[in-house]
Parts: sequence; structure tokens; C-alpha cells
Amino acid sequence: MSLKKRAIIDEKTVAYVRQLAALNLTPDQIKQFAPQLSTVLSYVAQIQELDTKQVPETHQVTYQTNVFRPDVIDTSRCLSQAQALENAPQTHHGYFVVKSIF
Amino acid sequence: MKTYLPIIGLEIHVELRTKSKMFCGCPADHFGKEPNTQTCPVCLGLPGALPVPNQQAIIWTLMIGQAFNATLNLESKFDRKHYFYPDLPKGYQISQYDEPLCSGGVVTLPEGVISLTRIHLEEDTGKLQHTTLNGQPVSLVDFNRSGVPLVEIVSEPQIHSAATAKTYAQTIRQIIHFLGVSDCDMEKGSMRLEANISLMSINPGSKPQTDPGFIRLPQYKVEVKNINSFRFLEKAINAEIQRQTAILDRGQLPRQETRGFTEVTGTTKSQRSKEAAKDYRYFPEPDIPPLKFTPSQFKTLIPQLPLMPQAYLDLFIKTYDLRPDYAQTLTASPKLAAKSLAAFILAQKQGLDPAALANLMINQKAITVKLSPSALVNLLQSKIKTSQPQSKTTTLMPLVREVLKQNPDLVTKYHQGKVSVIGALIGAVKKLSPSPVDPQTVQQLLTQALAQK
Amino acid sequence: MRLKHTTVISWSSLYFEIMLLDQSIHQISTLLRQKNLSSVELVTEAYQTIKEINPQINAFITLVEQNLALKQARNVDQNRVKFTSPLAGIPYLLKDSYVTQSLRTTAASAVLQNFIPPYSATVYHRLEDSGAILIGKMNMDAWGHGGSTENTDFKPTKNPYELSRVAGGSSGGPAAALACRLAAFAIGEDTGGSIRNPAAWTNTTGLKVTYGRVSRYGCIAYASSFDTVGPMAKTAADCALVLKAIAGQDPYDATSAVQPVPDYYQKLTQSLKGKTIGIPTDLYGDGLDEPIKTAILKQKKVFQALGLKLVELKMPLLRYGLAVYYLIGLSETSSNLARYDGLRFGQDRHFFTTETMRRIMIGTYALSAGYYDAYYRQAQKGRTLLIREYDQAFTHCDVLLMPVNPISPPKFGELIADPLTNIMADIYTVTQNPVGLPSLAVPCGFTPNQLPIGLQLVGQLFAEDLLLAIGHQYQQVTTWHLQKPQLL
Repeated sequence: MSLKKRAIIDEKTVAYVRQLAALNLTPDQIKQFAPQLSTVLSYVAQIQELDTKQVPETHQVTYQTNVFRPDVIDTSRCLSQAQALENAPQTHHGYFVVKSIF
Repeated sequence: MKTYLPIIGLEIHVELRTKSKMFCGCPADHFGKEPNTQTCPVCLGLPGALPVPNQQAIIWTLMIGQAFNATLNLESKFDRKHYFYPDLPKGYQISQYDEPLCSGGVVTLPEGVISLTRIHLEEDTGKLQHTTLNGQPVSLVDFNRSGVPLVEIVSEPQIHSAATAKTYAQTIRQIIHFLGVSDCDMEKGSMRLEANISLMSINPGSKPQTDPGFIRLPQYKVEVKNINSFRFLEKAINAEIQRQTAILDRGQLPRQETRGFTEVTGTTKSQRSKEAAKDYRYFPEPDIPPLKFTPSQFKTLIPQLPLMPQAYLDLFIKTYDLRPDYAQTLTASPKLAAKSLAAFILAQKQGLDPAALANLMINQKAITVKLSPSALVNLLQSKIKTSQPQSKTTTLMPLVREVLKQNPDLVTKYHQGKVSVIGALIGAVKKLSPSPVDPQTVQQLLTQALAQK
Repeated sequence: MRLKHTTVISWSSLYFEIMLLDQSIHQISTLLRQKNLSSVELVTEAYQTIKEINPQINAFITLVEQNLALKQARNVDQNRVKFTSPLAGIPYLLKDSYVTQSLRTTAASAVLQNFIPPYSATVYHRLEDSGAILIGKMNMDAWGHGGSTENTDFKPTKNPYELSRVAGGSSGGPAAALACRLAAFAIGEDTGGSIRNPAAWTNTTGLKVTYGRVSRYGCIAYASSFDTVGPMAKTAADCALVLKAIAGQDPYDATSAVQPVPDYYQKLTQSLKGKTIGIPTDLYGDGLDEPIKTAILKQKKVFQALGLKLVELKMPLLRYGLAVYYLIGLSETSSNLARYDGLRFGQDRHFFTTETMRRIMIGTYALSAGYYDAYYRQAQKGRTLLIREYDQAFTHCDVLLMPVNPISPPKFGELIADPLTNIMADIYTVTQNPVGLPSLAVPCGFTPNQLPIGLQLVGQLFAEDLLLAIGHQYQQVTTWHLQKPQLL
């Protein structure tokens, strides 16, 4: 693989991507990940060899369009408040509780 | 002192009043419900759940597009917009990125025409409430609203004053309200406003070039959220203009950021927590096949648009001779406008003056507000009969006009100086009126009407 | 057979000492219908075998309470007339990537260690309606991230053919369990080989269906535009019966296919005359272990004997398949796993395994501003080229014969030591998912070390019936699939 195509991910990039992905990586993990991700990305960067100038993208292979549902209430799937909350670590009077975001 | 031209663009979110949510069958009517009682695996973002789009919401979005003369796109799709926030259960919002349902469009205001960038469909988030539990600040999350269909209408940055922004927003609200696809209730949050504001320096004396094709937009943009009324929209924009002016006057550049409007202080406040990193990583939603329409499909899919406010106004003023301000008042809501129109048609059939009926509806609102069109007409009729003598200008004016129409020769004579013909005209009105009339009032009205001729 | 709890049953007026779950679904179902066998007996056998075998292979994450399964078995036994499906009363397994109401569902991740779903997957409902009896939720690579069931938070599943080796993945648990006849069939999930790879390494049969053929509703997503729900069993014929029960459109999955569901079992005996098998010769070069290559190419004669024609062709673009698969798959997984924030259910994001975090990171990177065009968009264009490559190949043939794995099941730790080695192991199974094609993996031999080898037959969209027919007729004249691990 030519050097030009080698994707090098430095620790700074790892730290930025970590933030986007909301992953709490330790400084050690960030250090580890930088070369590992670089290896994988350098491999998949071979995709750039493909001449795709005239090629459209394919996002999915259902070969369907306009799959809709009628505007009808479907109570069979509705959850009770208790069911909705049953797996939550913390609730209060029917609400999910999260650490204050302000 | 420099002068600045405000560059304002609005993003307006409107919740559609579909029966069910955007991607699942939960009830969409969430206002005032017990928390987390209207959810399912889909809108709660549970593992394995999948979205299926609500056809009605798509049709209504296209209808909105049509009402604003937007281009309805033959090809469209949903995309995932990624960010982490506790009210966003999947970690992404299903929205539309580069292929919205509608592109372009215009909103016509007395001040001029504002272009739209796009109209797209997405899902609403849950609702957060901030409080303290056991001494700890926490946020409470309710997902009843999660997944309710939300239409976003984005304007071009062609608005240059807080007042125009307000008119623009009010016009949008009125039109969507008339389409019947949303309650547009700001208090309930079914209509939400966001403004993007920046200031452009202009040389004093020179005429500002406001065509977006020619101006270079400022290098920054401040997004203001938490605007819960048209009045606050005006206030927030003015506050922001003031704040940014001060910064620019100091020779600095305002920071590109999201700010929240605080009603109590009437100022905006930075919301840095919402900003973390604005890299939404949009990509086409793989769980939903793309949308593809033909023009003829649009025709069968989209119902005929109801009368829009402007059409009502035109009818009321031009066909039914209403005072413009009364016409405005009676087009305040689609219900009132439709009822008024029905009443005017009925009144005319029975030989009554619609303008008189309009006067009755406005001046005696307390009595008339709940009446049906036929009841209104009946009321008008009985008023005419019972007035002893007739003195209400509202009911007499049509008769006066009718008499003037029937006696063009007398009118000509009057205008030539033969003021005495007024007596004959009063007699004619008396004759035409089903009930006794007060000659003095009639004379006044005649003089008035003749003066306008 | 070392099992002590064999059951003596009458069958065709002969008496056999027989392991019930070693029989085909058709045979078991016939016995059940004739009341020569009860579902209770079947389920009892399953639990006894599980008790003996599972501690050695660790195929289960959650075992359904035996009393609960027996209760369902009794219900089917007592209401035989109500259940017309051949799957009625038959014990089966779900990969733990399918949500089941009131039954813990983990996707093999500590994030969902205690997650009790309030709803069930469509595939579970369909099987429940047919009267099949769920007895376990099976081990896998967490979220489907892997090909060895080592990336699990519930300890790796061991290969029943050699306990020091991996069972494959990500559906390693169900595959290993079927190899040991712990149930009659299983539902796996295949995003880039997750059904076919472990099937090949455990001498079982697995079908990756056409994208959309089976509803994904309730299937914990790995990569939404690749994920498929498919049957795993001992034979192609068993897979046919299972597929018939689970396939079909689902109003809860907008990507589920509207095509009618044929009677796959009826079509197993369709004539194969005039059908052509294509052999992409470039897939049989460097990187493919010699014993695997030899074993697969030996089968050419068998296929010819079945009336199939053979044609050699080249598919050079498939070498970009891994890049396409990884970039799109990981982009989608970074998105699909964003919901695991520990607020509404599950534990928070630092409970992801390192492998899963790596995959999320790569996907996030590929989608992020500045890299989107070079990675994600370019991969979606590459995907179009893969589709064209397959279209081109199918102008010459009806199905393609390919290896499943380039290597035999490795020892624990070998695969996951290096991220790139890990990726390369998927090379033959990742090109079908971006295109949506079905593929059937069937046993076709053993290495000199007695490790199973599989081959795969790749078909055109919705050609499951043809793949299953070829697989079935192949299994009528071969015996590889009848071999069982020494463990039994």
C-alpha cells in the first residue's frame, strides 16, 4: 500500500472521535487505539483505489420505495409507564432521571 | 459609529397533528399526558425497534410545501442526525438532510417576499425538565413527545428586522393553521421558533444591498433558541442585535454559538452545553427505503388545499365589501374564516348585507361567537326587524347603498348642488326598509355615502 | 453415542436407540404428529443434553427455565390439532441478539447484562405462533462484532470439535449447540458471515437470507443495511422448514420484503438440470488454506453428478468487499450503538468491549466531517460496484460456489490478537451482505486434524429455494453433515 494512502490517526484525532462517539477512553486506551485504528483504516483505505466518478451510491438493498404505515394508533405495542421505566437505573414519579445536563 | 444590517434567518418547527407518531403507532397527542405513558419500543429507542414512516405526515408536509409554493421533490429520503442528548433516545434523530421533501418556496409579507430554503420532516425529541432530587440537580425525561412528527421550515437569511421576523413567523403560523395540519400552539410547544442572527457592517450613507446573491454574509452566526411567543421572538432578536452591535463596536467578532432566550431578563444566554461538537454525521437512514414520487402521484396523494388566509381576505374585502380590519379579524383562525364565509354566502342569498353581518359579528362578539352561520343570519334579520326605529348604521348602510344605486339621477343632481334631493332619497330608504327608520340617521348615512361617490 | 438418556421409540415397527434431536425436523415432526413422540420427551432430552454438554462448550447465555419450556411442550402435546406447523413442539435456540419479552436479552454485551425487554422480536412471535419452543438465548460476539465468539462478555463458546478452538461467530453459540444436538434448530443473524462462518466451523448448515426476507424487528442491530435473520440447523431441509415459518413481510419492518414466501420444503426436490454453478477462481488463490481449497473443489464432481453445470469465472472486485463491508458496517454500527447510554436501560457506554469500541470509533471516524467522502461515501459507491460485479457473474451462472472461511477454526486468542487478522478471516462472507444476496453454508469435509470445513453457495436475490434445493440434494448424496463431534 502506498504511503500516500496510509491513514494515520493520531491521538488527537482519537480523542476527537471519542468525544463524538461519547466513549470514555482512558489515556492508555487512546494511546493503544491510535495505531490500531491506523492499521485498520490504512487497510480499508484501499477503497480509494476504485474509480467511482460515474458510480452512484447504494445506501440499502431493499429495492423498495415509499414504504409507509397508515396514520393509525397501534396500542398493541404501547408500553405502560411501568414497562417503559422497568429497565431504567433511576426514575422519579414516572420520569427517567438523568444527571443534570445544565 | 458603524451601522449594521441584521441578517436573520428563521427555523420554524411545527408538530403535525397526526393521530399517531411519525415512525410508530403511539398516540401523537402528548400534551398534558402522564409522563412516559405514550411510548413503545420504537419511540423509546429500545434495542431492535425499527421505524416505519407515517404516510399522513408525509402528505401533510407536501401540503405545506404546496401552500408555500415550494418544489415538491420527486426523490427524497430520511437521514440520521447524530448527537447525544438525554431527550434523544436513539442517539440520533431521524430527519432529512440533503433530500428534503420540499425545497425552496416563498412567504409573501407586506414588507416583501422571503424565500424558503427547505421544508423537511423529522421526529420530535422527548421533553426534559430540570429539578433537584435529594439535593442533586437532575433532569427528568418524558418520552411521550418522542417521535411526534415535526416539520421544519427554514428561511433564507433574508429578514432584516425583528418586526419582519415576527410578521414572517405569524404568517407561517396562519397558513399552517389554515391547512389544518397543526395546532401551531406556541404555549403547548407545537410551534417553536429559532432565529439565526448576525450583523453585517454597512458603510453609512450607502444603500444596503440585501440581495443574498450579492451580499457576503457575516463570518459568524448566532442561533437563538427557547423562543416561546412572537413577542419574545421580536424581543430576543432585538436583544441579540443590541448585544452583537456592542461586540462589533468594540472591534470584536461575536462567537458562533447557540444562545437561549430568557424571558425574565429579556436577554439571551450562551448554551454551551448544547454545543459539544456539531458534527452530526448524517447518513441515509438504512431502516427506511427512499421516497420516490411522480408528479401524478403528488396529484392523487395531496388533497386540494383549503382556502388560505389571503384568499379569504380577498373574498371578504373585494366580494363582500368588508372593512379591511374587520376582514383581518375574521380570518384570525381557519374556523372563524370558514364560518364567516358561510354566513356571508347565506346572508347574501337572503338579501342581507354581509358587511352588516361582519359588523354584528365583531361588535357583538360575545353573543355571536358561538352561533352557526344560519343562526348569525337569523340574528341579523331579527335585529333589523326589531330595531325601533332602525338606527344601526350596520343594517342601514346596505339599504342606503341600494337606494343610491337605484337612483343614479338623484345622485347626479345631488353632486351638481341640488342638496334638497336628499329628502327624496330618505323617503326611498324608508320605503325599502322592512322596519321603521330614524330619518336623521338615514340622512347622515346618505351624506356619508354620497361624499364617497 | 455416550449419552445415557437415550429414548427408546417405535419407528417403522423397528426399535432404535436414538437421540431424538439428531433426527431431521421432518422426522421429529412426523413422530410428534403421529403421537409416537411427545414434545415433553423432546424438550426433556434437550435439557438433559444441555446439562451434560453445555458446561464444556458454553453455548448458552440464558437458558430458559426448564419448567417453562415443559409447560409449553405440554400445551403443544395437548393441542396438537391446533398446531399445524412442522415446528410445533420442537425446541429451538435464539442467538441472543433477538429481544424476548420478560427473558433477558444481552447481545452478549455487559451493557445489556440485566436487560429484560418489554417486547419480543417478530421472528420470535412467528416461531411462537408455529408452536416451536424456545429453550435458550445463545452466545455470540457482542453486538455481532466478531467472527469467533471471543468478543463476548459471557466467556467464549468453544468448538465442540476441539475445545481449544473457537466455534466461529458471531453466531458461535447457536452453531456449537446445534453441532451437539442441543436443539433442533436455531435462529442466527448474519451481517457479514455471522451465520455461515460458525456453521462451517461446527459442521452445521446455515442460511444467510436475502436482505429483507425475514423481518429484523426486534433483532438488535449491528449494521442495519446488512443485517439478516436466518435459520441454522443440521441440514438444508431443516433450514427450509424453518425459513418458511419465519419469512415474509412485516409491517413493523419497512425493509422487509413483500415477495411471497414459497414452500421451500416442497421445492427441495426441484430439478437442478440446466442450472450452472459459477466458480470465481480468484477466490481460490493466496490466503485460502490448502485443505479447505482441496475439500471444496472436490465437491465439483458431486455437484456435476446432481446435474449441475460448472463454469469458472473471475470476480476481481470482490477484493474490495472487506473495505466496503467494514466502512459501511462500522459506520452503521457506530450509529446503532448510540442508543446505549444507560439512561433508559442497560449499563453505560464504558461497558462496551475494546473490540466494540474500536468498531464504533472507526465508524464514527468514517462518518465525520472531512472523512465522509473518502470513506463512507466512497464505500457506498464501492457497494454499487460489488452489486454490478455479482450481476455480471450471474449472467454466467445461477449460483456461485465459494469458500466460507479461509482458515480452519483457530485457537483462542489467535484471531483477536491482531485487528487486521481478525478482519481478513471474514473475506469470503462479507461481500454478499452489502449486495443483499442469499448464501447457504453446508459442511463439505474435514481437515487432516478433523476440523470441519464448509462451502457456501451464493444465489441471486430471493433464490433461497434454489440454494436450499442444491444444499438438500447435495446432502442426500454426501454424509459430512451427519458427522458429530466426539463430545457426544
